[in-house]
Amino acid sequence: MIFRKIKIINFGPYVGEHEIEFNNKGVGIHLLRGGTGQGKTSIQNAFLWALYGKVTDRKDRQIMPTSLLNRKIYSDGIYYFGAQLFFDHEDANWILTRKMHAKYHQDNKYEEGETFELIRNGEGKPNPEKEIERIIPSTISRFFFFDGEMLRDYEELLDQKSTSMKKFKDSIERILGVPYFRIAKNDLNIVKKRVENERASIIRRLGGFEYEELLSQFDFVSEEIDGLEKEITGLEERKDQLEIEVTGNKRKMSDFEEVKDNAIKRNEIERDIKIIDGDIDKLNEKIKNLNINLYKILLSPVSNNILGVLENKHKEKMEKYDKKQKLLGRLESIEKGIKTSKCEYCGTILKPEKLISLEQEKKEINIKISDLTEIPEPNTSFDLYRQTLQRMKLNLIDQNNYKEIEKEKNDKLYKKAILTQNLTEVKEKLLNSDTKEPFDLENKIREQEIEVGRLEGIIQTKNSELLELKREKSEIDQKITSIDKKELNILDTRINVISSTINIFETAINQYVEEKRSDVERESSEIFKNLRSKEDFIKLIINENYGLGILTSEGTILDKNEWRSAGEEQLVALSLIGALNKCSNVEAPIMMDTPFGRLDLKHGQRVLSYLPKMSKEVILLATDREIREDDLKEVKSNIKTDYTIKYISEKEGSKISKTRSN
Amino acid sequence: MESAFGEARTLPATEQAKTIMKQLVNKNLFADQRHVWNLGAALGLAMGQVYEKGERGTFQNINSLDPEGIFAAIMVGRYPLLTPDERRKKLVDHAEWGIRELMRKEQNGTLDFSTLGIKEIAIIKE
Repeated sequence: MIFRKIKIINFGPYVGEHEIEFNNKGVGIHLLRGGTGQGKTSIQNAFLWALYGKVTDRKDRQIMPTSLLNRKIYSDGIYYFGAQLFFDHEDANWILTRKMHAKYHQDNKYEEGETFELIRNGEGKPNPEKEIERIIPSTISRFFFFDGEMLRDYEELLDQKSTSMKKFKDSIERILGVPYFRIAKNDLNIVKKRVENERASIIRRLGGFEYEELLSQFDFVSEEIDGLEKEITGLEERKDQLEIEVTGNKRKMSDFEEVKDNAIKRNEIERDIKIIDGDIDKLNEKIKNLNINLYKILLSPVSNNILGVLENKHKEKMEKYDKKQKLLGRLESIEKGIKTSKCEYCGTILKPEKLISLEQEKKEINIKISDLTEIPEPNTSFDLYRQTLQRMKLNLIDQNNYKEIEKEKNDKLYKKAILTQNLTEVKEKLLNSDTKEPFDLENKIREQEIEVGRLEGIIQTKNSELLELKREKSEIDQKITSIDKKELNILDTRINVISSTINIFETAINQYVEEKRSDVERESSEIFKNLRSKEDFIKLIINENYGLGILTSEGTILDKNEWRSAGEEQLVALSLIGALNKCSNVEAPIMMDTPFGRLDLKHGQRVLSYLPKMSKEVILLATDREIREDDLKEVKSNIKTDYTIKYISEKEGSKISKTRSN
Repeated sequence: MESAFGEARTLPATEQAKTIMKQLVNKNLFADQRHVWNLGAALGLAMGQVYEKGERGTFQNINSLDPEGIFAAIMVGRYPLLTPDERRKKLVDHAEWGIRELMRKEQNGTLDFSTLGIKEIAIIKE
């Protein structure tokens, strides 16, 4: 299958009719460039929708017809969109047309108004769906039309024990041709059942109570088995559905993982900041306590001179007081002498001249006493002030205490600044995120997994019952077959031959799968060698689920969990897809959306160089960031078509134009 | 005992000084406005600087601001010849200057309690 052209009408962001023609009869690399949101993915969706009538988003949810119609066209009241593919296949020209036309903008109305036709060399094919499934089965389309961002999920799927994994494994086996053998084996089973029925009707014809009884038992047990099988199928479907939901939720959870981590980080930082704030408050309290007495340190040098002044003042006051006391003593002595006219010390009678002189002295002393204040007690206030200052100087705080506290405080403030910066960054990351959602989703996944476990338990019990019934059926069957009748013997022989053939097929299928798996392993190793820049590996190792591990030169097998980067996982997934394409029975183009999103420049270049070997036709939907002009040089001769997609406006939608060379 | 400040029981402050004291308390540097006043007055005295402008209103009781009588002792020793009222006014002038100086230092980021007074006094001695 080689695409030559696609036409799209009112599809996604495209207003009106647009077409892309793939040059060189479709063979080579075709580049469709465009930034994010310009309309690249819608082109891939148009291909898938045209082929299968159904497209899903990155979360595997179906995009309904009402969402496929262009918004502008919808606002104009036109409910019509479609896509047309022109391709070559089996030396014939094919045109596939799918359109939806509705009276009302409702999903069911679009489905009712759907037209789908397939023309081969000008002649309409009667069953287009079946024909497309034959050319490129929908179950394997994911290996031809894929999203680079989703490549990692393929390996993710292979790592799970779920229905999604089973379906994925089936689709891999389908691309490798395994189902053809399985269909043959199933056909043989049908033949065997027919012969068994024939045998049963002969037994009935032969009559006899014993046979009837055995047959009735056989029928009863068969019905029981059928009923139980249906019940198990129902349970398995329920379990499978739940597992799909768990897978989806886990994928969603991985998107939330960062939000959850950041929410925890934010809480931790906020708690740490709170602790630091508490420490800073304590240090501020210490500073405030020191500040109560800081003024004394400043007054200490001031007080040095003042102490001397106060001491002198005190001495001066005391000298005055002593002088006054002496004068008072002399005055008392004079007054006594004057009163008694005798000398106080020797008792001699004093002469009148002496008395006059004493009166004069008394007068002078009184004046002097009067000059020395009238206070009877000595003035000690200067001494008290001096003592106050001395006490102050003895109890000064150590100003170095501030340095220690300030240092500690600065350390804390520095830590707080770093934390605050971190907090801002984390909060920015959390902007517009619902931090509760990851935790709710985590609980939901846990509940769903418990339910899956419960269903598994029930299925296991039912399977044991089924096994028991089958054993019972086999016993009855043996009893019936033991009846010696010629016709029955012939049928028994036929049944045995068919059973043996079925066994041969079973063994052959296993061998075929092994061989194919080994082919895939070899091819994927070869591709991986071409894509990967590191050379410390020998080959890729494939497991029974088609999961790939890297066998290093040291002999270690690195499985998915040990791959170092998303880019490396993408390379391994790409190698698997490339190998499957090479080993498959289906020949189809490869269409890659955002193929190099997770790859560095070097690996992007390597993948780009390898593309021509992957398929005859490769359609790349890439952003300019992914593909640089320098990278294209090596594959320039292989690039046959180069378009640029640009979203203009809601009114005009996206436009497709040939890329102008610089 | 001779009273340093006579019969007066309170010390006044200008509105601006009161505002500054309140701001420094709000900045979590001091537990109470009294502590700002004490440090401001000590700084003014240590630097020998006064601020005499502005109308003064009642601020706080002398016993609250100087419970140990340290400022009284300093003022008596430093200004022995002034009358108690003059001495009281002089102390308030020192405090007014010191309070403003604390705010100035805080605003330009040079308010460092671990060195406050040391540098300033060294400069005066030089």
